[in-house]
Amino acid sequence: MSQSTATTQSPAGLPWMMFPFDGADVKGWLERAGMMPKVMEYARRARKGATEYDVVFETGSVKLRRYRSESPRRFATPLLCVFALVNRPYVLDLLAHKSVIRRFLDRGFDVYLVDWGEPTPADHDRTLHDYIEGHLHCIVEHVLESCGVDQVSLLGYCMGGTMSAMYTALHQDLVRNFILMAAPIDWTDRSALLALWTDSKYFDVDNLVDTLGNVPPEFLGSSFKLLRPVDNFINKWLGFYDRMVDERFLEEFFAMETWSNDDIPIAGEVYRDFVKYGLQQNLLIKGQFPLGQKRIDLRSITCPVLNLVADADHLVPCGQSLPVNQYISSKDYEVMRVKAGHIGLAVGTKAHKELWPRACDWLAARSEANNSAV
Amino acid sequence: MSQSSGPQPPFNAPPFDPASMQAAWQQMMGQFARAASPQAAPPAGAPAEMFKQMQKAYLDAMSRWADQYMRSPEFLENMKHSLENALAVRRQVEEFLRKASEQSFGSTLGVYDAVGAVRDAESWITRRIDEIGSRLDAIEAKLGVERGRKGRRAGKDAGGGRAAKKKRPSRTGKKSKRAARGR
Repeated sequence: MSQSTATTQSPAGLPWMMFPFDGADVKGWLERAGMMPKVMEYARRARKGATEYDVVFETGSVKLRRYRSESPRRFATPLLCVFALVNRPYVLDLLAHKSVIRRFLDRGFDVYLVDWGEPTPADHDRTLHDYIEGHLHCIVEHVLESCGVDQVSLLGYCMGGTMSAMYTALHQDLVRNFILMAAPIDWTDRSALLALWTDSKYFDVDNLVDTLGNVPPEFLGSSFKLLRPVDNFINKWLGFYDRMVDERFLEEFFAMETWSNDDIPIAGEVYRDFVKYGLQQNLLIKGQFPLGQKRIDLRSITCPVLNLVADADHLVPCGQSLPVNQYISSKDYEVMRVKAGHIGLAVGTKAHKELWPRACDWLAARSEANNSAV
Repeated sequence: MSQSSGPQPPFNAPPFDPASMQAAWQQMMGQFARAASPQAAPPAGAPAEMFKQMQKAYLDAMSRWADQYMRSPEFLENMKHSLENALAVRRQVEEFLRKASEQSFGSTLGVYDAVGAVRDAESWITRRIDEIGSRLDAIEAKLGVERGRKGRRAGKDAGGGRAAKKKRPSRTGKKSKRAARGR
């Protein structure tokens, strides 16, 4: 106790503020020390995904997962989830009680997820056109054929949302419903630190890609972490110390840590396309984003669109995703917001309690019923 | 630093202002004082709670300061130069290694040339396949329209509506095979 009082009376040596305990709580410290074997156990046990799936289609390094479900399939329209190219997609199925995939499965949807895989150095010249008009189009056609339907519902998260928007604009006839999840569409809003860092004045994307080929995961991972240094390098561990006696917390913490450190490289040309034409030149909203020989015109999107937005998103601020309705032609457009961060939208307790049940309702109301379901 | 003497900030980012650091500091110390005052702190467990509040205030201030600093032109310029230098070093190392390997393994250079030639040929063939694929799609799209018309006519004659459902499979097969070959 005396040590604590003495320390708090002399705030000049401020680095002690970063220590997780005040020195007086010896009992708490001992309790946490006793948890260490459990901590190691949870760290070792962390899994990459919670739900069983089958890989039903492969094209190059890209795999299509179809998730198994014990719930009856109530809807004939399959749901295809498209994640970003910069991380692994299992964040959408991190833990059973925090799984977006599981929410849709339980509701009776046939859920597919695109796993883009890890590009090799030989893939550095793959462009967004290759991914969208090549892989994604093949996958959509495979899903349509195997399910015997004419249209899918698309769910795109982050960069995957932007790519899905491009795909929907090019193939509106194949998409019945479209869900955007923290997807950047309009980069006019430069409030995010990432937008500033990638500004053409300070960031020469050509130099980077020409030198490195694929953009290495260390570069991407450390850049994302540096966006919030205090949260990622200090607050996270203080919170860990506070809550490490709770086993449920340990399970969630290590699942999240495993995912956030499981970075993958991104094909150099994709990165160049996305940064140059998206973040730097904002061509998507101008109808000039080049994809192969075509230009993306978002006005071609006419299907029902649900825009899921995280209020405290530091990567894709609301201003980058909310204006999407100004550029599409859909009459059926709805926004759902939740007080969460970019990843919290997928794994946050609040999102799973308040947002995803409503999102499932929205999709259910617009999907074709499965008449063969028992 | 005045705005005119240094690089212009991008968009609306304000230049880094030491006064803001002072303000953050004052705010933090104010929060410290409130947390430490006997009126504010509950009697039981007061030191631990007070410590938490002070810690939070300190880290919030640090977080705000870091965010502001990382938006400042000074930081952005430094970041730009650091990245440029790192990439330049990388290019120099690669060039050095290339020359060293040329001197050490000169006889294998032919193999690299051959591999390079094969890769060029592969790129050329892939491009041509894509072009042919696009032309094929265009032809199929035109044929599809005609087939659709004929199908609808046939459907009307036969009294059924199934012909239109069969519009897509041919495209699926070709594209999937193309993708399976690795594009």
